[in-house]
Amino acid sequence: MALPRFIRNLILARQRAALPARLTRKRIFILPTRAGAVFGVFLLAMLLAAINYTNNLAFLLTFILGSVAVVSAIHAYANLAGLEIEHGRLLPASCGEEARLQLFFRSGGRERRRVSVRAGDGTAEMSLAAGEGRELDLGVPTFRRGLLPLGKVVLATRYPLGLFRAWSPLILPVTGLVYPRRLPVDALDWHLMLGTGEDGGLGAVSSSGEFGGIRPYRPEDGPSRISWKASARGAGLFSKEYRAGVARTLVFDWNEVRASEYEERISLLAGLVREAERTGLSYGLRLPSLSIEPASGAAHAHRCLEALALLPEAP
Amino acid sequence: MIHDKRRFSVVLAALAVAFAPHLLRVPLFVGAFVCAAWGYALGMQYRGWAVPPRWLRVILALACLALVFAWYGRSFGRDEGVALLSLMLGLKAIESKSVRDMLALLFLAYFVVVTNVLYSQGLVMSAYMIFSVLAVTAALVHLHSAQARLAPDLRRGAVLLAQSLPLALLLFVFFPRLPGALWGVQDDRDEGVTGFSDTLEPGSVSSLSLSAEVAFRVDFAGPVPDRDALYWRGLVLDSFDGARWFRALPFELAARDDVLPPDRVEYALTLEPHGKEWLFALDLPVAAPRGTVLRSDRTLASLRMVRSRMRFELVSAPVAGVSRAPGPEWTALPGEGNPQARELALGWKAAGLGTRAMIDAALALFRDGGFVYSLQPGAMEGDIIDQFLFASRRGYCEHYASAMTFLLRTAGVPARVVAGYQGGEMNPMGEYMIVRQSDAHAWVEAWDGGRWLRVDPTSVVAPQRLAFGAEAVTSPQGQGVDMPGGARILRRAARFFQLGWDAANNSWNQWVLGFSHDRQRSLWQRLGFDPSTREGAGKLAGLLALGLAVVLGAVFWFMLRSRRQPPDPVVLLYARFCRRMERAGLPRGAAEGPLDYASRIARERPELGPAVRDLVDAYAALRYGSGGDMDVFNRLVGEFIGRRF
Repeated sequence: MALPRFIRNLILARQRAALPARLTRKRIFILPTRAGAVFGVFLLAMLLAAINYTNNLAFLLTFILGSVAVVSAIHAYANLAGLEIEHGRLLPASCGEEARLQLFFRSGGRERRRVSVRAGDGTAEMSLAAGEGRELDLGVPTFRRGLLPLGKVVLATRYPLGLFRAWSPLILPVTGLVYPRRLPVDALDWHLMLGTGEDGGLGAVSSSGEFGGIRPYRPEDGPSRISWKASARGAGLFSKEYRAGVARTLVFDWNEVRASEYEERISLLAGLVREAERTGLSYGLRLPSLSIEPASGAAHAHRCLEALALLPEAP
Repeated sequence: MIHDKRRFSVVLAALAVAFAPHLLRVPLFVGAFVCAAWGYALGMQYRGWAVPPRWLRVILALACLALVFAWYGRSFGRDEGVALLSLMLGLKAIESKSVRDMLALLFLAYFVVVTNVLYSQGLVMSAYMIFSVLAVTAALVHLHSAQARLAPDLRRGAVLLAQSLPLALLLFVFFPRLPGALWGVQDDRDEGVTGFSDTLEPGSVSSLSLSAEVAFRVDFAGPVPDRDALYWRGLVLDSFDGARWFRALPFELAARDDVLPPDRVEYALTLEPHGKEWLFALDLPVAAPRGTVLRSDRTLASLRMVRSRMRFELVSAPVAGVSRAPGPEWTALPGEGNPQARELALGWKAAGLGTRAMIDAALALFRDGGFVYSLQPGAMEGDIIDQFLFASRRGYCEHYASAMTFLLRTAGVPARVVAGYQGGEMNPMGEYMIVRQSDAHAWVEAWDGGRWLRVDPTSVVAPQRLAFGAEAVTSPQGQGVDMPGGARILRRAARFFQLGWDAANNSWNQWVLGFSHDRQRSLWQRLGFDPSTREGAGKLAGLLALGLAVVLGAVFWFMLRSRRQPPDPVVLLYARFCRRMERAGLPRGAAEGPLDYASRIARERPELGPAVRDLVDAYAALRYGSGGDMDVFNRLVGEFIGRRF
């Protein structure tokens, strides 16, 4: 639709909301649904019949049904008005996977019934008691690495009668991070990297690392190393231990990666970082613009992947 | 979908509520089909019965259509429409799977509720219709609420309905009523009546039953006339064929009186529908209200059949004006029959009695001749006048009126039978008069001295018939039999409720069902608006807008007012802690979480550190964690506030 730019800006300005965001009169729209339109036609027919037969009881019933419809619009509006989004965040995800959007709602002073929340392709529904808070989890599709602005979130409801739909489009200041697409790492890549490692490539580690047993979980292990099978026995969390032989330090170098294209290079590096993190190695990253000193752990992995994700577009 | 079976049964229950009044009206096969279809639909939901294939549904639909047309023939009216609608309810139910189908079913249910007005508009039925609207609305809410419990949805439906009623009433009062229909209305209601017809056959009825059904109700503008003046004139029967009295003379309009007599009575009469054109008015009507004509025999006739309850503003005066001398048709009788009666009347004529004397002679005969007022006179054939006058001597008003008219006509006095009602009962609740079918009456008019003179022969036989009504003559009480005290109280209580109920019905009829073009107009005029002028119409529109704003504003306010929970004591205690720290010179930052705040306090006031840390930990556990001990938190805050620093 080719709306003039200033109108589009006006609409966007209305939709932009700071967190915590409260749904107010300015943000809520309401229109009849298709069922509501059918109901309207049906009321009109009844009204004509009542006029023609000058039947006052038919008048009264028509007006009661019409008033019920109008009042239901107010109810639909009230179902949204005053609802609050307290905070929201997008968890990082690899490109191509769904990023998890977590929104925390608070109902305010009133009960809320069947409010649907749509973000991207995902929808979820909730009902809240008065004063209740609830976190909603939605999947947002990702198509490219880098920053992921949330885009429009639409809260909508058809409660109570389905004759009207009240909705509120919001653009929330929530930005997520999309890690680069991960390329599978094969043995040759791995060996090249090991070759550049500081220990001179003693080939003690297979491409996936050899499984060495389990030990109690430590927070720095990261979720990918939890042995769910062992933990399920209920005696606490356990981590898988990979026999990495001697502690090893690797540095993944931008220029050493076996890839011809720019994005492919990034994806391969991301794959290497994930793989190294999974096997519990200590690794660093050397990019044209910055280097990250070797370390390990979830936070370190995030730092490396973030750096890769935020690399500029191909020159 | 969630709770699908349950939702479907709720939808069906609402349909059943809406359909119930029709169940007895539609042909048996329609009712049976609807019930069977609903049963099968329930089986589909609960037992997993197969959805009937499309072709079967089409065949079923066509078969239903054919059956309805076969049943009713070619005409299409109210009953046919309702039967088809009912069949649709059944068919739609067995193909309903989705929420949208159920929505369509509930819309149909609303429609079914509205079709009830074609059959009954009484108070009970109207209340039931409102109840049905509530049921269907609650089912709609249930369809959209996605909760297992029904009670909150029922409550929500009731709230919706309650909030919409003021709005609906506002629209009802303000919506402009048209004086007539937009297009031709074919009305196939045939309201049968008991107690009154346009012929009088004294011999044909062996036993008359009294119906307490209401014939009409009357609102007097001034004082109510005496009971013995309450003759409600309906029809003048001018011809006799030996068995029955009927109307045969050509229609003539009465001359217009431009001056209203001073002793007139003004009243509004609300007539129950009887499907005929005749109206009733207090003896004698003076002018014809709009939509009616006044005939030369001083009876009123409506220009349209009275098929719905109609209200007329009438004026009557007790004395008839002088009129033209009647022609020979007013003394016409069949050539033969009833020889004894003829002989009697001709004897009076030969004796040279005047009209008055002859009337007195006839009344004296009835009074002293051993005549009895009875509603069980037995059937008569042949010379019915003779049989009544000289053999049975038992009868009710029709017998007396018919015999007296026969005698007068034989003697050459113009005379006629007038049929109508006599009496009426004031309803103390509502201050209006009820005239029932049991008040139906017939009397005589004889030509004397240039006017028609009313003579009621029944009054000399059964004076209490006039004073208390026909029931008084025939009931045990009227005949002097004492009733036990308990029964009398019970009777009085029943009477009280009956009158109260009638008053409620009357208000409903007058104010809701009878709110016509004219009444709406007179309401506006009483309020000082004239909707026909531009200014008046503008004022009315303004008034309506104001009303809408008030009503909708009230609903908005009610819905948006927040039902504040009592504040969380945990939050209150934490706020007290924050205020204490603010006084100590360390206010909490606007976006500062409790843990950050605690570590800032610990940095700047190390001596408070441990206490604050404990307190904030307890707070975080209560507010954000799963455990936490309210008592401990309470104690910690208390100690903290109490300490000096």
